[in-house]
Amino acid sequence: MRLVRNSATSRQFDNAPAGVAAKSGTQLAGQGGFDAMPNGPIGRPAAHGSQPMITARNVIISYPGTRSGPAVIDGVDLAIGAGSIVSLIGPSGCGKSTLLKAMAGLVAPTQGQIEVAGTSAAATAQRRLVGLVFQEANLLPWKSALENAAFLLQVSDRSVSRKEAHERAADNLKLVGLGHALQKLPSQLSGGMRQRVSIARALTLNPQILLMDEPFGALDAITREEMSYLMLDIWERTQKTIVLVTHSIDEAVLLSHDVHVMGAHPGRIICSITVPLGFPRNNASFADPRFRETEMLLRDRLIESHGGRGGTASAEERK
Amino acid sequence: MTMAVTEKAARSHEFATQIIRLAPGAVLLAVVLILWEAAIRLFSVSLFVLPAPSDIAGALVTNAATLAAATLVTAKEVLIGFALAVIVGIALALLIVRFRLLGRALYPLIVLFQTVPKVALAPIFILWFGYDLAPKVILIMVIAFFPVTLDMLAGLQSVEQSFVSLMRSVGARDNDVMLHVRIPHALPHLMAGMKVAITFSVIGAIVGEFAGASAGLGYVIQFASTQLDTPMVFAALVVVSVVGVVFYYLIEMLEHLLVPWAPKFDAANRI
Repeated sequence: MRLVRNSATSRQFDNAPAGVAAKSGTQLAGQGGFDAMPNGPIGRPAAHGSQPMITARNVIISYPGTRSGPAVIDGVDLAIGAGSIVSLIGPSGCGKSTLLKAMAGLVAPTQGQIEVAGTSAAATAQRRLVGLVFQEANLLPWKSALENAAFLLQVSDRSVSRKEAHERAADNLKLVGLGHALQKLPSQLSGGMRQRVSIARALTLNPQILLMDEPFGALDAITREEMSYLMLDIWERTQKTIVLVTHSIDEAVLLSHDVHVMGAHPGRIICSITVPLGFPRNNASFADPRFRETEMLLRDRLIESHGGRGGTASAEERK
Repeated sequence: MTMAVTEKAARSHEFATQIIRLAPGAVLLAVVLILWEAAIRLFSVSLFVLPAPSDIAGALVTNAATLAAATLVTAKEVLIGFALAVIVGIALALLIVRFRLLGRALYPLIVLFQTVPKVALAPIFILWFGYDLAPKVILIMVIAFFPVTLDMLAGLQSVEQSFVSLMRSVGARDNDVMLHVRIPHALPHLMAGMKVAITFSVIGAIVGEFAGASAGLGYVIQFASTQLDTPMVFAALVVVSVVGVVFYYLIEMLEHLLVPWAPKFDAANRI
């Protein structure tokens, strides 16, 4: 197992042109690594990420599932360590949601391989490895919070009794802070609470991985921040591998071990940054100068990925 | 105790609100009827041309037995035809969603068929299916299934794609998605379609009876008009309307029972 997550994602504060990161990754495809620079871990608990939970090797995805169609994802190499939180960030149309769906086994790569927990991503659904959370809470309006949280488990695993499913759902609703609202209908819950139910539903499956596609995109700023702290809390308790697709730089930096910046047309990873902050993180993390630096760096990379010249000086130059 | 009292108070309050809501309509209806009555008396309009409301009321009372018997015949046609329309409508929608190729083949044909004026089919159905219940029921079915199919389809397809992804991500099959997500999501839409379908059904029954019948409200209307018994024609029309309204509100009650969680498409309460 040569693929070590720590070395895989450490283009930190490296001002090399964005294209280089992607290219070096492509060249090393098949050897297990995707970054030429084996920098050491920075600010990351050693307990996490020594084994990859998800690996992508030279993944190309064309829509709609044809080899001739334009590539949505063109040559992505990625290694996501077990028990780490990783964000995918980038402009609309960069394929980050598609990549997430491919990890869930919902979209098959046209070329290349995605492995999840040691097998092809195609088996992810059958092995019930992932819990998905989308921007829409997708709750059934005629079911209570408890029934909604238990629903996917009951549908997917007939061996689990209704009672057990409800017990597990209740535990997870308590974990997300909804112990008082088990019997409430979705129409009686706020947007943030509905999204908490959706997270509890994913956790009730007891998956190894949480895949979250802009989960807080529809929420107001304060609720968003609360949800970020909730996710940190959930991660501290469960140590799940979490992959988060987001548009919010703040959210990505606050939550992640690693942030992968994607560019569009075609979708690819243009740089990967390890956030130099330890855990646990909380609202004090915002005040850490390293937080701001990482944020600035990501902002520059994102502007590059949009094809802009960069409105702000890079973090290095600012020093 | 207190709970029961407050609940009772809330209910009587709700009842009062309903009455207040109905009041403007009732007042307008009364005004129209009074003006109608006054105009007929003032201009001495012939009874054959347009009877006064009081004449119609008189005809209703005198012919109560005949009208009741006719109502039973028509109501039976409406109920059976409507039930068939709902079954066929739902079945078509399910087939179209579940089997995409079949759906692509069927859907344009259904739309094409919908543009055929069904009234013109009534005599043909009499020719094919005889003079009795069958041609009316079949006519009602072909008139009323379309809104059911259309709304059911819209409901089945109203499920977010991300919800389908969610189901598939845990290995759920298409049938699970259909049973647990699509069909329940479609129920409020289905109810809206059924409300349209029931009014079509009443029209279908009357048209069917016009084309050839020996009983029913449509038959009464046709027979009375050949006799120049205009008050009776209007009396039968009043009964037809009442039948339609009663069926409509029965479906609305069914809606409250079946999908209490659904957003209300209640146009009356919007105003």
